[in-house]
Amino acid sequence: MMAILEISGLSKRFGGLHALDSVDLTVEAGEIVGIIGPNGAGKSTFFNVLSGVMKPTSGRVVFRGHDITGHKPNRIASKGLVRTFQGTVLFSDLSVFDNVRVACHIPAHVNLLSDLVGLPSVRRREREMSERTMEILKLAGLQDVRDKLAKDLPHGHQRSLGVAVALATEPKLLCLDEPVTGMNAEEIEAMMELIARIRGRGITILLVEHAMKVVMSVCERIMVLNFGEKIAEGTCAEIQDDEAVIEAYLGRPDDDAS
Amino acid sequence: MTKAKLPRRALIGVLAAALAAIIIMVPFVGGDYYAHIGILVFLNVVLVLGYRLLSLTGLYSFCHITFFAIGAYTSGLLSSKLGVPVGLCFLAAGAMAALVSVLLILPAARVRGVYFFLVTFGFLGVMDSVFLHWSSLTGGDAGVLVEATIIGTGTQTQDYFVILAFVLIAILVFYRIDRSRFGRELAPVGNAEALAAVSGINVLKTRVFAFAIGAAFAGLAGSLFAHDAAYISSNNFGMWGTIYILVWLAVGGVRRMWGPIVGAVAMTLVAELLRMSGIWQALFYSAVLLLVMMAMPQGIAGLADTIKARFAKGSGAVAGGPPSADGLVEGSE
Repeated sequence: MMAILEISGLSKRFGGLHALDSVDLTVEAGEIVGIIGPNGAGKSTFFNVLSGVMKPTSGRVVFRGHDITGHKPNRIASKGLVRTFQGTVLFSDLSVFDNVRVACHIPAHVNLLSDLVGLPSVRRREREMSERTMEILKLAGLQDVRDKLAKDLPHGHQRSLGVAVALATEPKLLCLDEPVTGMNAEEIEAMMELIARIRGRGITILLVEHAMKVVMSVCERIMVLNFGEKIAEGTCAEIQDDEAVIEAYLGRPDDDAS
Repeated sequence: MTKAKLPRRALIGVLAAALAAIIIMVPFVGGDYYAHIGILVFLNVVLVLGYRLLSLTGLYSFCHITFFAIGAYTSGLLSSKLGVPVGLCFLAAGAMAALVSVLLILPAARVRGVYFFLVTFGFLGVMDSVFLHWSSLTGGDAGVLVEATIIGTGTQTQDYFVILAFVLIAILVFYRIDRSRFGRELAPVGNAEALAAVSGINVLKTRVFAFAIGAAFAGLAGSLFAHDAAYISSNNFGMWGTIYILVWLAVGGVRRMWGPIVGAVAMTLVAELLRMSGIWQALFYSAVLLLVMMAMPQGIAGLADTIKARFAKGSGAVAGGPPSADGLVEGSE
């Protein structure tokens, strides 16, 4: 195994607030790592900095051997590090199909002029992209609602679509930001299946989630953040027994027997 | 439904042919006055189509008419002061407008929403003053006489057909853009900028291209306007120009390309045929804008989509319709 992602000393300050304070994390290819912590612990900031939505104050992010610290989000995405957003951030006025197809563009390189003329090669690529879009929609269980507008979907489908859009970019590392928050049991089940299928394709996953059951059952390794600092890292069992974690976040172990 | 399919297609064909015939007949039957109105309609269609690109990315500029002006002055001055051939003036007008637009949007795209609107509003004001007060170059209030004709002797009929060809080419280009990768990335940028970025779209580049293409076509249109009118002055390019473009866009609806076309054609025709001018035209536009915002916020195109979806029973509700005849027919409902 080799490290797909090496983060060292990653910090983000907003004025006097340390949203992220010197966080180190190494992720191996094919792993699925959970990131937990109480509200305001810096989980979302961590994803924002990783994906280029925000620039870090200091620290280094090395992804597949490339230093991507502070790069623009579209460049980071085209290298294969892709994130989803909390809630339902979608291209809401576009159809489900178009949502995914837009994101399919990353792997293809075309210049505007040949595209405007509509060369045969461009049309062939269009067809391939449509096929790939359908394949991803099937994977996410969305093939039956492909013509609906994203904003008209039920909540569970919207969340799956968010993941499908990210998948369309052909990520090597997928950062899922609270994928099951606000879902009912059935929807959670479907999302966990989807995550398992994504893993089956060899995609490494970073998972931020509040639902402990999901994190504990899906992740191999967990990092715990509190007030921007990493306070623990280890297997699920280790984390559940960690004094600092229990104190900061999980409460007394008896409460979390389930 | 299936039975009606064939006659409907035939009907559209007949209507399209009739429309083409009417457009060709206008200068012969209507004379110079109607040819002039036709030219206005054509130029306005190009303006609104160019403006639509950036608006799809969620930025609304207030200075689109300024690029039309830059094109008109570039072409008019090159021609009248330096004697440059009209063809070259035409290309230079487009290039100059595109260049200025890039220089403007590179810093301006750092802000969004109403702030972008204000920055471009400021640019419109500055350029308005430049056109008016840099008298040694622009002739100030007195304007510029542009003697070179677009083609031949420059009769209204000749200009009408040249500009008709120009608008048809422009429509074709914008149609292809709509179906290109670049065109399909515009709405996502406007819809969810952050998601677009992490989906691999270069948001800034997309907006720069959208703005520059729109400005280039506005500049080209400005050149044709200058050589057709034979006289330009800063009075031609005030802020009402931009406001009208916004109204055409709102009336037509931005999502489909034929929406703004219908908006520009209908509004220009009504205003001209009722011989409204000055404050009356402004009043009329304001009233229409209010009505549209209240009754059909998605414009004519949005209304047509809603009607279509109601009849289609859920299938293909978001299919991309062809922009020409099909659109015009449905727009007239």
